Order: sequence, then structure tokens, then C-alpha cells
Amino acid sequence: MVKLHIYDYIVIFLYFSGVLASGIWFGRYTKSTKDFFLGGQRFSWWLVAVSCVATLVGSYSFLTYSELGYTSGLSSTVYYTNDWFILPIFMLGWLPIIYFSRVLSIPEYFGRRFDDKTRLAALCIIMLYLVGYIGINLHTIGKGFQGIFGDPGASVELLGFIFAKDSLILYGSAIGVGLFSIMYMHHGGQTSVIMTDLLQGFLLIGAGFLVFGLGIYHLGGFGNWLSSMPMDHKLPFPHYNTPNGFHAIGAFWSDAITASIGFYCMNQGILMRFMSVKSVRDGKKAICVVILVFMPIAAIAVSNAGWLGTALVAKGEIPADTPVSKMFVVVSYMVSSPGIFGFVIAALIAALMSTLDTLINAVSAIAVNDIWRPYISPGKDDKYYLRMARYFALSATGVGMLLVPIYNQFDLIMEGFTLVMALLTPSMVVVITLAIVWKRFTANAAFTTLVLGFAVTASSFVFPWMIEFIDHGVNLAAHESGAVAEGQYVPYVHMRAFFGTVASLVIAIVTTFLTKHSEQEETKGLTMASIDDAKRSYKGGEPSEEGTDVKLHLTLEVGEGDVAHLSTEDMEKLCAKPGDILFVADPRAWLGGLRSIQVKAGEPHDKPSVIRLSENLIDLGSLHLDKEKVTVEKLL
Amino acid sequence: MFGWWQSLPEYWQTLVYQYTVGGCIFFFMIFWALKTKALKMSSKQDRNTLKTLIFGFVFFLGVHSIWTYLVTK
Repeated sequence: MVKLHIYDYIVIFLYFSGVLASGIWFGRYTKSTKDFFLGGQRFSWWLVAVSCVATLVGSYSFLTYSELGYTSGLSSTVYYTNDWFILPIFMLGWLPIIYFSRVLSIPEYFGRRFDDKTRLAALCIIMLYLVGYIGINLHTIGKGFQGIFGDPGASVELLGFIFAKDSLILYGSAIGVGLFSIMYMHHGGQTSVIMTDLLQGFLLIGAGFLVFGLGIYHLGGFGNWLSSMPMDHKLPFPHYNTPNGFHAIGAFWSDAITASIGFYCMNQGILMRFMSVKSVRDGKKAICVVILVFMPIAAIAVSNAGWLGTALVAKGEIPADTPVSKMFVVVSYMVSSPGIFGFVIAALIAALMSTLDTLINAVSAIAVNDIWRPYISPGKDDKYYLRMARYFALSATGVGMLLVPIYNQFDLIMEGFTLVMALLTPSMVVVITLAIVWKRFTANAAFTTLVLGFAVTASSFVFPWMIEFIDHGVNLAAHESGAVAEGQYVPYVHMRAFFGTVASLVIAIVTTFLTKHSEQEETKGLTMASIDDAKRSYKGGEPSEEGTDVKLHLTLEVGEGDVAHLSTEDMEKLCAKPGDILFVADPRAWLGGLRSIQVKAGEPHDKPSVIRLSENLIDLGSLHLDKEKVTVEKLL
Repeated sequence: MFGWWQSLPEYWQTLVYQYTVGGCIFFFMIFWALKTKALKMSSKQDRNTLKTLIFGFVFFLGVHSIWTYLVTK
């Protein structure tokens, strides 16, 4: 029986207070809808990278990957170490295109690249995707709390009604944590999200490794832990095509390809995170560090409770019939002492809130930029849309909460989540990829692919035989291993994503050749072949990357106008000309660009080592005149 | 024709499948970026980007291969 100590409650209380205080504190940097959604395009790569990890690691991660770690061993890391294949799509195509074209949302990109009907279809799918993501995170935090406070079969009387105690904990904790996330996100938007996610990213990785370290110590050393695992639990990949719920082929197609492209290119929250970075160069650095360094570290942090569980069950310290969904809570409780367990629970909540705040912010961005501003209430001032964004943040959480009972129907957390994502992502992933790589891809083909691709993927739930011809023997292997009765179709938890991707790709290619292709104007700056056009449009002139490695430390003085004035000498050092985009920041690198501004260079003056900005620009960048220096870089 | 594939132990099949199919997608996108000039070899930044991408691919392939070898040797 898991029971929280008073020290645990104190740690959890301190965590909540810290997140709320930092969220509200950093919210004061939000002055417009651009700040609310994009954080002002000023953050350094490392800040975005760490906060990105907190977004990637949801509350479901600890519970789900501990389940997988327990049932399959070290191969549970496969989901966090297979994203590199799709990186060129994001890094060389999607990121520069969305950054330089200044789109505020993915449906907006579809509207510009294709037409309004395609934008609407994309809007519906992305909203379902994001709300589905919110729902799974709320559901898992409820499951986590059930593992701590739950008592199957017990009932509680509340306001004259009798409730099952487990259900009350599930829904109560989902609602409670959801509302808390809104409190700070509602106030400060993207800036609050990034800064609180920075804190929460360190917390959740730290807690994961703390459990691992304590567990290894509890087992008497690394060698004891490793020797308790069967050989196939030590391999980096699961079996080729069995069992049905987790196999290498499924993990590759549903996660490495479809879900990864979906996550990095279709997730509005991730798009906004990378739009908040100070330059595309910093964005590329951030994504490389996330996938190459932080994801493998996170894989260990979220999975190790399951690996330890295998050893603890083998030693007889944990009953073999312990539900796998409770493995994370049971193991971390066993190896922790009072106060430490509170820290672990705080990390679980951190994982939820850091993902939830991003998703809520993303939903409100789409609701305002793609529905409210263009169609419902156009032409209002920025403060009005900022207020509406905050109302939509509240509504998104409410809708996500309604999904909790649906996810609760599934035995395994990952199963429900994968089924929903396998339905929503394939057609979008194909359309996004072809939109950026293939100029010939037409608006009608994109719309048909979104609608028909979704419909064909959905129909495979009713007619699973459609998947059989590309299932890599998953069905046959499942039958041979006795996982399903003869004549009964395996639900293809993972292979549906592959089927949907292949079907959508065929639909896209065929309809492109059957329909009239778009004119040049519709693709300019919105495909890989025209990234230079996007740069020209972003800068308002010819792009120049010469001198972008130079960083100057200059004295800030008050000037006039909406441009920055540097001396002729400093302009030469930066290889800058009037019209080039500069980045002016507080010299304290640890602020990560929190006090900074992007500004165009104006005509030079003759006072060396001095930069002149208007009071308005100094205020927008939250820069201090009393500080001696600012750093100045050329971006483009 | 696929005799060699059948003769591979399952744990190598998974690795070969992932890095062959994944590698095709990965290198096709790099080729496409070079062809469309989204990646320019004349730019120092782009050359560094390309080196990083290839390093990452080799890094993950190396880690997974050595890991599999050490467990199964």
C-alpha cells in the first residue's frame, strides 16, 4: 500500500508553489498575442531544447514506458531513440519554412500553401490531435494518482452521492491538475510555458535518475540489476513482429516515422516552441540536442522503474501480480524514502503540466488565429484576441477532461493513445511532407488526401483485413504465438499507422496527377525549393549570412525610430547593412534571451561601441539602460 | 533471394530493417534538400548542418549495433 508521508506533501506543495510563482512572474513579459503564442521569437537554443524535453515527456511517459520497461526490458527506449530518421524533414524543410513565412499556426500554412477548404480540414484533424493529447495526459495523471490513493472496490460518499473511490481519484486529480496548469499558462502564454517547462524539464529528468540510482542501490549494485534481466530484455529493440502490442516493425512505422513527423511537424505546440527561438540556426541546434542528447537521457528517466520492477519481482520484493500500470508508482515508492517519493510524484505532475500547458497554448493559438480572428470576429485590437486566447485555453482543458472516460476504456494506457494517434496522424503527415518537398502537390490533392486518407484509415477499424497485405507478418506471428484465437483479427495497434501512411501517399500521388497543379505564387516561400524566397520575405530584402558568427558587446543608448543604430565600424564587424536583422540581448547568457529583441539595422552613426534603440524597443525587449552592455548579433 | 535475411538472427533483422528503411528516408531527404538548394554546400552553416545530420545517424547506428553485439556475443 502506497502512503504519502508529511514530507512528501511538503515537497509537492513546494513544487506547485514554485511553478505557479515562476509562471506568473514570467507572464509579465507577455505584452501581445505574438508574445502569448510565440514568446517574441527571442529564446536561445538551450532554453528551447530543455523546455522541449519537458513537453516531449508527458505524464503518460513515466507510466507507459515503465509498463513497457517491465514487460519488454531496455527496448522500451526505442521510442525515444528512433527520431533521427525524420530530422532532415524538420530541420531542412519544415522549420525554416514555418519560421521565415511567419505562420502562426499549421492550418494557416495550409491556407497559404493550398486553400481555405484544406485549411479547414487540417484545422479539424489538428484540433482532434491536440485535444486527444490533452486527454491522454489528464487520464494518465489520474491513473498515477489512482496508484497512490486508489482502493479498488471502495466507495466514497460525496454531496449525498456514492462514488467509486478509484473513479473519484481518476477524475478529481485530472480536473485538479488541469485547472492548475491553466492558472499559470492563462496568465503568461508561451513565455510562462517555456520558463516553467525549463524548471520542470530538469525536475522530471532528475527525479527519473534519482529513482534509477536508488533502485540500483536497493538491488545491491548495477551488476545485480543487469543479471536479473533475461537476455531479450537487454536488447535495444523489441522482437521483429511480436507481440501485437509492441514490436520493432510497429515501433518503426507508427512511432519513428508517422508519430515523429506528426509530433515535430503537426503538433502546434512544438511549432510554437520553435517559432519562439531567436533564429532558425538556434532552432536547428535545439532540435539536434533534443534528439541526440536529451531524448536518450529521458528514455532512461521514464523507463527505469519498469526495468527495476523486473528485478524486484524476481527477488520477490514486489508481488508478480502487481498491475503493470502501477509499476512506476510501486517501484518508486519502494526505493524512495519520505520526501524523495514526494519529489517523484512532483516530477510526474511536472511531466503532465509541462506537456499540458504547451498543448493548451497550442489549441488557443489555433482557435484564435484560424477560427476567431478570420471568421468570427475580425478586425479587433490585439488585447481582445489575447483575452479570447485565454478563454480558449480554459475551454481546451475542459474538452480534454471529457476524453478521460474514453481513454479509461483501454486496459493499457499506450494502446488507447496509439489507436487514436494512428487514426489522426497518417494523412496529415503525408500532406505536410509532400507540401514542403513537392511543388507539384496540388490543393485538391491535399484536401482529398486529408479527407480520404482519414476515412480509409478509419475504415480499417471496421475492415482490419485491409492492413493484412502490408502487415509484415504481424497477424500471422500473433496467430502462431497463440496471442489471438484462430479466425480472429489482431487489431493492428501499430500497423494501422503504416497502412494509413501508405494509403494516404497513394491517394496524394494519384490525385496530384489527376488535378491541376498550383501556380508559382501559391508555393513561393512555402516549399523546400523556395526557402530563399521565404528568407527574403521574412527580412524584406536580400538575405545575408555573412558575419552571423560575430557577437559584439555594445553600450546601449536611447535613440529614435523603430530600427537599431550602430557605428559604421561595428556594422563592418558584423558585415551588416541597413535593413539586416539584428538580435540585441542582455549579456547574461543564462537568461536565454528572455531580455532581448529582434530589430532591423538602421543607418550607422559615428560613435564606436554604442547601439541606439528607441525607448519603445528597449521596453519591448525588457532591456535595462542602466546595464553597461548589451550583446548584438546579426541574424540575417 | 531473401535467404540471407531469413538466416539473420531476429535481433539483427530489427536493426537492419530500421536503419535500411529509415536510412532510405533519411538520405533521400538530404538528397532532396541538396537538389532543391534548401541545403547549400557553398554555405558554411549548411555544411555543418549536413555533418551533424550524418554524425547523428552514424551515432545511433553505432550505439544500437554495439549494444546488440555486446548483449548477444
